[in-house]
Amino acid sequence: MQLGESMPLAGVPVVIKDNIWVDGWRVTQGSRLFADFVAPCDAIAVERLKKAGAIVVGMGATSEFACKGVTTSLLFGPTRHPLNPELTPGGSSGGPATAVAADLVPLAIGTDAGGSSRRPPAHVGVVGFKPSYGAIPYGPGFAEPFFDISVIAPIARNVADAVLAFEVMAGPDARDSDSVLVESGDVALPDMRVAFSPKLGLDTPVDPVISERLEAIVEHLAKSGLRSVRRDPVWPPGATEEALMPLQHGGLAELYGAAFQKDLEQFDPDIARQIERGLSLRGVDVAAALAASSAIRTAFAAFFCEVDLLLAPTVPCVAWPLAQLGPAMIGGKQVSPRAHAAFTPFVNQARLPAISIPCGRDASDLPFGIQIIARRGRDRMLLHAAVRIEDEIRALPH
Amino acid sequence: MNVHEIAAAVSSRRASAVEIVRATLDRMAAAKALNAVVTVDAERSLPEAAVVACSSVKACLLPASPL
Repeated sequence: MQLGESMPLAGVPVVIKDNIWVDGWRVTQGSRLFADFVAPCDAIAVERLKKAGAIVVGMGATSEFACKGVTTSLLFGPTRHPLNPELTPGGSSGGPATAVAADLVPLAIGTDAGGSSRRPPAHVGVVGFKPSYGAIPYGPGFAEPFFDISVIAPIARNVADAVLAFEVMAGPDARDSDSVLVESGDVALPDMRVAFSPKLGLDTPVDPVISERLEAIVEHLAKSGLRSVRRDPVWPPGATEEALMPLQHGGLAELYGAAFQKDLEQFDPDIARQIERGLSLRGVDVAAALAASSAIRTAFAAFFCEVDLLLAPTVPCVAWPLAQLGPAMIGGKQVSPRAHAAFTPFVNQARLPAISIPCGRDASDLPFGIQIIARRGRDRMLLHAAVRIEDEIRALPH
Repeated sequence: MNVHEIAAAVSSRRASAVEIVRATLDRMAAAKALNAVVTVDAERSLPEAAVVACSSVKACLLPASPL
């Protein structure tokens, strides 16, 4: 800190997800393999937060290697939902999201490679912002089991706080060759072309309480001058989350396959299964997943040639029991354990910015969120619109 | 308090960064059963808060360098 420098986060306590390096702190990735690892330096994002006056007060729980949609690990056990301890906040940034929702800190920093910092915030009723890939420099830190999609993501109680944290952390750094400048946000809201996609163009169930609330929000936004058209992205055949999973499984196997073969007891059984699958993959399987990722990116690019903002659910369901990987039923239909995550991973594959804002609660008072997505690099335009949409949602009765 | 409110309060010396961090550590200890925060290190956080408290006051009192 130099004299005369501004400190936009002066004295702000912040929790950092336990997979981001903080100089001198134990950082474990929720893994027994890293139980005693002490970070040798700050990640660039953390360095910038500290320079702006933020104080790191703790490391937020993550699932092992941030590779699971609930937050539990052999090292620390399960993280509990702040509104009901029998439920999970989801994952993998369940610790940071819960820390903000439980009013422990006003700001937490997560990571997001498939929705990890949008779904948990949606489940606990706070804001989670996934910036464009490269908008916030990544690392120095752990090698990632994902291929160039994971981002640093602020989690806060409101959009304005997430914006402030983003502006502190954003901007290129020579240590991250993928880090880039993002565009300015000066697009007038009435000029924006907004689309609403109730299921993001996917054949997947959504709980009626969420569908109905999103419809009401879209109608309310139209009355207040932010009109949208109903429009789905058009996905190429075979573009499913399942088709992408060889990337994560192969990545995990490449990083931890040898340790797994030496002592599988060190791993969360759910992560062990992913590594096992990764070890059995053929080159052609990984190539097919890369092709699917590329096709998703192309489909989103075409969509955002004609649209500025896309509104969609963040999650198709509310939080579920702690011991399950996902809810057994969504929208009255039996679903696979990953069905709860349907609406977030494609955004990562396309490297787009997206924010989740709390938008309603079910009959049990459990929160859910609306996701706003934009073209890569238009983070500031997205955030500008999100501030307005957040205000409108707050004005709308439940 | 939210992020903006804390930063404004600390910068204007209406609140102390050390007290804010101390209160945060107390809240985290009381909410341990949630298992949201898995590592806490007060011996690192409190001295950093003290440095920020000092720097933020100086930052407010001195204009930004033109260089």
